[in-house]
Amino acid sequence: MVPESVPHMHVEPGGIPYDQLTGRQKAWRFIRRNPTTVAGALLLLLMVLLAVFAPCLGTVNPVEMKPAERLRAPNGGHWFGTDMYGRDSYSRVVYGSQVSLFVGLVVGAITSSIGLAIGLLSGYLRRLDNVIMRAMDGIMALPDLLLAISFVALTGASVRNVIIALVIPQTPRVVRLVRGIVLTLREQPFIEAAQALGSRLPRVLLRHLLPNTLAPLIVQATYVMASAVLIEAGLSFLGAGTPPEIPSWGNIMAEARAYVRVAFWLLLSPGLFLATTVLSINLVGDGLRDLLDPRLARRMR
Amino acid sequence: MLAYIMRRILATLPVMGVVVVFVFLLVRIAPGDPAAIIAGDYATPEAIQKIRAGLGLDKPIHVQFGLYVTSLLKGDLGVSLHSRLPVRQLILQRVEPTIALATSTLIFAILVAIPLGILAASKAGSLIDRAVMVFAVGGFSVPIFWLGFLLIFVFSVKLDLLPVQGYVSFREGFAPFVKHLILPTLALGMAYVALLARITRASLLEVLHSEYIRTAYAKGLRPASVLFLHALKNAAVPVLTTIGVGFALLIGGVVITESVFALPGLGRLTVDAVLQRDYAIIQGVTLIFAFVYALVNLAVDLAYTLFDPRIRY
Repeated sequence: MVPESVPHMHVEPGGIPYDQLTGRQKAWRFIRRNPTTVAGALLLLLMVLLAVFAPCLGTVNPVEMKPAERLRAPNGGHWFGTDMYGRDSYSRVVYGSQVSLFVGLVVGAITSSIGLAIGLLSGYLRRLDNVIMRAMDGIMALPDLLLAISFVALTGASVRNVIIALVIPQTPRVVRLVRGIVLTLREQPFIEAAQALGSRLPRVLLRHLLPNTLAPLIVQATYVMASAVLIEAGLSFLGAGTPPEIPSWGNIMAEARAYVRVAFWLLLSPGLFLATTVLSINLVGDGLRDLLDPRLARRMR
Repeated sequence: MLAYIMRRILATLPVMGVVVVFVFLLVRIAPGDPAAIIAGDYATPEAIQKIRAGLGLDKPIHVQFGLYVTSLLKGDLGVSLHSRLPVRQLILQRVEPTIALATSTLIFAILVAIPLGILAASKAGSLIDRAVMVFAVGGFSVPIFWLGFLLIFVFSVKLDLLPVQGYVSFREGFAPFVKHLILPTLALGMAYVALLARITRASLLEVLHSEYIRTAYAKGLRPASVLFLHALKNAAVPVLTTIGVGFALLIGGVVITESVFALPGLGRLTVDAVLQRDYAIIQGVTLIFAFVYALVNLAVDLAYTLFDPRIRY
């Protein structure tokens, strides 16, 4: 699988061969062909910038209460209005992106690494396979949100526990994916050749099997990130996620829910940012899938 | 057929076993002493010790697990730490709104998603197709609780068409029952519709590209008969699988939806239990949901043969 070769195969009828295009022309063609992927990537970049530069974007202290200014509608001073404690909603929403993106990124990274390790071992070592896959089936039989809620309820609400609570139900999905790939690769001549040459187990796993799993793994990681962001918000909304002293989109909406009649703006903005973030991650994921895994892309399209 | 059903049920037993072990361990590995939680803040060490003995928590862990499994097999899900009522009774009291919501969402999702998917696939590449795909990606990205509040704001607060929150049992009248379920069903169903529509479209498109469909067109059949009589049945299996797998989405979503719309169902029971750290209820509800999920997927497996005679028992 050589991912780079995929776009090269397209030559527009009567057009200039891909190799003779200038860098700028290549970029333009990519944008024209993948408008949703590019839009998703730009939106995601915007969210990341928002999270990184939160203190310099005209925000005030997101936890500072000004009781005299409570429940103000959006205006020039408070772009998204103020909440029931007189805190600036814009600042809270901007700072809220930090928790969401941090949780999404960390869960995506940890889940992929653990899932990759378990999946490689499970796919390659027949004896381990049965035990591991039965355990994974067990975790997958539990609805992910419920498992996460139970875990946070029992261990206490903190960002660390939320991350663990999200990694547990997501890992089996990665394990299944990696194991499936390894199962088909295991029988192929290049693996047999490696074994015949006396390669040790770590070398077979890391040198020969791992690179072949990377493309689908990256795609899967983006979907894990999208659900992590969504479920973190759900957990925080239910009071089993990010503790209330750290603003997150989920707990901002949980606090604002009683004001749906009088201050709907408090619910509107965090939800809009949350939906945009998840959408942008999904769009980037779809784009990567089309780019890296044309076979799967054709099936999903 | 019967033998196959038995074999499939037997095959789900190990998974359920693993689930029971997880649910048991989840509570045991968690920090915090359940006995201390029950006893309250001012209990003496002796009182805590007594409660611990009463719960069997002083016994070795494998004995505890044995006791847990034995009582589960008798249909005993334990006792709530706070109300001291049997968890089974609490679950039975709360099960009706959840079943009503899950059923209406399932029906809504299937009735909307499958026609949408068929429409998109039959006009692949058209504007309708693109609109369906945009909706499929978008619907999957919108958080249920936000969508729920948007719906409440538009249809209840602004237009005053539907009740804001709450649940009315069908025994108290069918019209109010339906009215209270419309918005929760829309909010909960959106992601499911998006997922199902996308899979229906993809599955049907793949079938439409196969040889026998070309033959059907070549012998002069009307496009409608090719689509509905020849293609649809063969596209059904992945859609069925997704209905089963997507049911997990629905179970997780039920908890959030019931919280948004103040429906007194199992989801609310769970959230209240979370806030009170009532692990007995959390364990019970988690097990029940896992069990239902396994049953739904069993039903899906059995339904395969209706659509694909090649899958034999």
